[in-house]
Amino acid sequence: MEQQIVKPLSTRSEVICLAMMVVVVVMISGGVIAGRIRPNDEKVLKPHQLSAFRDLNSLEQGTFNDLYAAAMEINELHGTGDEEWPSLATLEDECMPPFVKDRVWKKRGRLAWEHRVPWSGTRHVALYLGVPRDAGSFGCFFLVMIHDHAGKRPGTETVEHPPCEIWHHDDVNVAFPEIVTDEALMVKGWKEVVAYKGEEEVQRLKGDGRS
Amino acid sequence: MFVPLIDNKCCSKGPGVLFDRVNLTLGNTSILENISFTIDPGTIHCLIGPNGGGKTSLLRSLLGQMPHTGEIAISSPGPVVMGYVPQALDFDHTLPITVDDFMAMVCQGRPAFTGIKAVHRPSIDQALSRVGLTKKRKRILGQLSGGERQRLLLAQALLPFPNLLLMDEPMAGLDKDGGRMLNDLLMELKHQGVTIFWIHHDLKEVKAIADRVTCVNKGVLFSGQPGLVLSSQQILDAFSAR
Amino acid sequence: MNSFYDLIRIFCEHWARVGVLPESFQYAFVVNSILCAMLIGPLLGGVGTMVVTKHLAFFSQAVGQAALTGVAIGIVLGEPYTSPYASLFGFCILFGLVMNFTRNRTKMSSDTVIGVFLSISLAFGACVLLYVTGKVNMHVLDNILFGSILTINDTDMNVLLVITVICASVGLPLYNRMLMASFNPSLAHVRGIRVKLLEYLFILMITVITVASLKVVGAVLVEALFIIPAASARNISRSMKGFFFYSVTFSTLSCLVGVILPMELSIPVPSGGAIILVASVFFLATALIRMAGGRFKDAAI
Repeated sequence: MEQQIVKPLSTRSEVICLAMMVVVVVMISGGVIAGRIRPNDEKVLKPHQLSAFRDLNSLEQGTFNDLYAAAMEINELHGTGDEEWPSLATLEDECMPPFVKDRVWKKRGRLAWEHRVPWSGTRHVALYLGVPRDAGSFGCFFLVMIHDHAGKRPGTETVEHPPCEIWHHDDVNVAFPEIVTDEALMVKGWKEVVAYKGEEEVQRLKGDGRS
Repeated sequence: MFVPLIDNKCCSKGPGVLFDRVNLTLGNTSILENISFTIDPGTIHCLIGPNGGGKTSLLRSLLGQMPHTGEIAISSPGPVVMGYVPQALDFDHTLPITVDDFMAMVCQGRPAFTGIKAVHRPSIDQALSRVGLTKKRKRILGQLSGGERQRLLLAQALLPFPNLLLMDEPMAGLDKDGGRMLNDLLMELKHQGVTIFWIHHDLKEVKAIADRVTCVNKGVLFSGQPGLVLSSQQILDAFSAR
Repeated sequence: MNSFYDLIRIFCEHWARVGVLPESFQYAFVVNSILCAMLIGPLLGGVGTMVVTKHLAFFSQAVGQAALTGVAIGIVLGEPYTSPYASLFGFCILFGLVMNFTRNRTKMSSDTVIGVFLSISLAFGACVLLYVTGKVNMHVLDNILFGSILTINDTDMNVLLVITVICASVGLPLYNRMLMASFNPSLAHVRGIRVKLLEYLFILMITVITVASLKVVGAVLVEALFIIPAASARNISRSMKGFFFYSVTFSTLSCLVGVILPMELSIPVPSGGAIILVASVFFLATALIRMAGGRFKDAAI
């Protein structure tokens, strides 16, 4: 004869199971979220670099953006080396910011530009230094254009040095750099300005960048 | 598997049930106090009492659906197959669920919307025929009368064939024919050794059919053979006691 | 799976170019949204019959709204904002489970408990959203609320496919038991059905289906796609078979037409809105049939 005792209703198992389920869900979700959080995709800046997005004030950012765009134009104008580097007068005539003396130029500290083209063999180098004439929170900008034409054959361009670099210095009395290697500039207190591009912002927001 | 309603194994009796000092308290309210009685195997045992006396709660304690204290033990020579006829079927009357759908739902694993499985058809047909619902099988549940729904609840309780049948006021809503059908069915089941425990109000029928009767109003007021315990005075005391 | 999707897209593009399919099928996002509609339609239509039977319409609404809070939490924690599935699923599942537990234990009426939880979730979401607006464009959240078929990608389709397969393989064998449990929990318990467990399982199903459907239908309207096709089917069905299959049909057609028609007619409406409007047309039509057709008439009282 089998005897079974009727168990009274108990809600204990419901509470325990629910608590376990909550823990499991939190752990799994937390684990997946932790796995999906991407480390900040912003570039890790070296000590001699500063971020155009974070480290420049809004007026300096404006100058940097214009100078960056101008560098591309200057690069195009210089072309394959048959063309000369554009002079300041040319750039002003072309109304190319930040060289043109307009109202924006006045707002941004009235930068006085100096242009030099030092000879360096097969490397074509052009330097543009902008020093603010107005007192205020404006630093100096130094545009370094370098084209290395040695051993170039069409279609096999290997540029060891980026075609342009923009450097910044807080001291408005800084001298025109004689030597434009990275080390020489760093020693004189110049900092290379690094742009924060749109793709980096998209990657930061979207995580893996694949939507 | 085909399970005949009338099966010749009339000698094997269903389980017996022992209620031993069963108490039930819900919140601050005591529903049942010190309930002790037995249901003998293979008998028809009726539970009577005034409204709110704890009859349904006691039945549900036997089903393991109440947080009772004390002991409820079911003794059986084999596995217990319980059939249960609840007091009512609460559902949205506009739902398009037919009698066939309902029986498919309770009997088979395959979704009811695919229809009755061939293997279950004979037993469902027989159960519906037994309760007189064969002609109503395509009817939507909401279009059945209260009595017809009660018959349907009875039909589902017979599948699989139970050895312990629990019923909560199965006569509610049944007409004379329905009542007769139920009585015949109960006698048939008893003949097959099924233990039947049911809540009922009609004392005349209790006297006619039940082997034992227990009256409950929070506690057990009396328990025994209907002919002996159902005297006018005891009934009066039971239904006026609070 | 991604190469399978690519194959389908290539075929559709080809057929669209030769004129067999509408021109819009040349675009990947159109094919993606059609594929999603063909998964969501039957799924929501089938599960909707259960939602209607169990009177859980308001519940599914609350889960849909909780998705907004889930997204906000995900963005705060650093998940990619185009697919914050971990926080979405996590928060919505917790929300559904705790709400159901509270409903069981407090014995308060369903709509009161759900109303309270819905309010708490929205209030919390609103606070977190203010912080989130500093990080992302708020229009991202329009996509969560109203759906955005333009942003459906292979990941979304994979999630939807996995959830459809899981829900179908769990839901179909348990369909009868879940239905029985809603009719009479006491009777269901006697018949060996684990009523509480199935209740939680069903809540879980609604939650994951709601989250998976967000991009197509949107959080605000996914509940409507549970209810309206099933309600339409109820108007003209005479049995469970009719109820289920009409519901699935109406839901699938609503999704497909709601996705294709605005594109073909160049109507700039969110996909969720279009789908629900199409579903509503079905509902109106079946309601009229019910009112006019003698065999569908019931007593007024």
